[in-house]
Amino acid sequence: MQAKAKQLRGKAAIIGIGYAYTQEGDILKSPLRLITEASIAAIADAHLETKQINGVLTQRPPLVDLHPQYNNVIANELKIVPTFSTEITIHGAGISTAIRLAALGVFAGVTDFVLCTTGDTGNLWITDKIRTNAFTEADNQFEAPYGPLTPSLYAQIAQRHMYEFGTTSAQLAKVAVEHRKWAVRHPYAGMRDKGLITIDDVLNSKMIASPLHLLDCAPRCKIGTAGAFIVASAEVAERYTDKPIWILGFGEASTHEWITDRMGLSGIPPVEKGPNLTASGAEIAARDAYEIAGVGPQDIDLVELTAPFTHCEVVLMEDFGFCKKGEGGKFIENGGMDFDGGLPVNTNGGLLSFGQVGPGCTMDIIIEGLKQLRHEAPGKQVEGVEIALIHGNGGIMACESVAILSNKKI
Amino acid sequence: MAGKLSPENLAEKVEFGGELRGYHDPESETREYWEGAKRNELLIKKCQDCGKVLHPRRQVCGDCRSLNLQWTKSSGKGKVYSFSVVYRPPTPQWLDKIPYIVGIIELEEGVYLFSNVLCDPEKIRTDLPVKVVFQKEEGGGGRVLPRFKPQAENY
Repeated sequence: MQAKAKQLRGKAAIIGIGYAYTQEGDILKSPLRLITEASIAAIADAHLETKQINGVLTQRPPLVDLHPQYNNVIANELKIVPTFSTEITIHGAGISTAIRLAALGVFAGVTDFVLCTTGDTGNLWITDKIRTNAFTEADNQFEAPYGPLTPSLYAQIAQRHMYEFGTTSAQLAKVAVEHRKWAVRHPYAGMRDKGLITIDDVLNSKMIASPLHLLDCAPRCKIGTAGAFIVASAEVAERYTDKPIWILGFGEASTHEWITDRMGLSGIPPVEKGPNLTASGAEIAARDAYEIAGVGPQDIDLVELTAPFTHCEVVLMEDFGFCKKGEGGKFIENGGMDFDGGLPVNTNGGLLSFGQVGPGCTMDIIIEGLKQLRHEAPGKQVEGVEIALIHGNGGIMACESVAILSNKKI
Repeated sequence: MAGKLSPENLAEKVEFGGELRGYHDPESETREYWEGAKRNELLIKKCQDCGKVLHPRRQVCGDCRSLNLQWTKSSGKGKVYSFSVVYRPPTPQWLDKIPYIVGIIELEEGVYLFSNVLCDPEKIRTDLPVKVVFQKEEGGGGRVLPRFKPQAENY
């Protein structure tokens, strides 16, 4: 990244948010319906008329509505004529990196108000059929024939992290334990009624794909979720909302599409020294985000990250710079992300306890971060939160994006 | 023939939501890999310009951007780089196989392949020396898959 990127700091803001959920027992709503509800709520929250929206960003289509150019499907439904419109296809990191793309668009003046939205529905028949196979995550020729369950692909990273750094199952389990403490207080978290869990509960839950137990994995909760946010230039933000969320910095990096192919990459960050599975593009995404924002890990009050398995958070906390590479397990064991007294991480319970409906799960993470920053947390509010690190993950820790947001004009 | 869907080169098509068999229509760039497997040869690719050995999927050399990649025989020997024992089958076909092992194998030549490790799940470990074996895939198609088992007899 070039130094001139630093001029982007604080040049855009999120001026409106919207969200929509269905819970088990509700009448089923399609992802497009949920996206529509979230989008019109965001447009209203920003005190805009639909015709003022001229940017539409989304990520790859919902798993249960695999229509290409979904950005156009959304614009078509809402009757928006975007002049700045795309799907950002880096798996589930698409919508988090939309924060950057929208900011660039409004900063450059090629668009005025950008609607960023996505959603997913967790319980339609297609998800039931493909939820445990690796159709969208495995290399169809060179990985799929061997029966990889999606967790078993992510587990390759977990197993190496344990082998290289001595990370333990108990350390992984602690991630799930702490996230549940946020979830039981959150009205939309899928696991809120399941009560608190202990490390032993996690270790005694059945093994899915070693070393990942059931409670190390995000459940496919039977709900639908969608979220939307509107990005505008900093110059106009305060005309439309009295709770602008300033976009301070952002970054992104992708390392592979299929996990085995990751081992064919070396000599370039984050794998300068040789191929490995234990560093992710989040290291680069966070580095660039911090540099633009002019802050460091010590300034972060809140982390909302996308991790479908406990060990991903170990890797990510290292890559975000909260501890050294290899020390993520110890960081967590020593209380680094404790509900009581640690850095607040995943205040809706994260994918582990909020649930993961599909790649749209990243939007749940973003919306929670935005609500916290606006002091509208549906669950426990983090007091005094000012600067948040928001993260999206795509593929088997393949594509990572980070944004740094603040409720203060700093 | 590249990319053409025809009965000859289409082993088995995956149905969306159906059995996960992998959509197997070998592009011309990888067909020889599957032909080699039928001959019980594990083939990898080698860049003729810079000598780098590459995953069979590769079409271009990541180091020097050469398209001049040729097939070369691997010794079939390597070690387990990473692994996971699967306890929940992705599709009904795998139900009678659990628990089974999937992992990334580091071949002697420095290429990494994903496969099954045919080993007691209690005894699987990182760095376990393995060697390739070839097995006909169950269910139609006639595809032969390279899998790996411990080099040590009776491991």
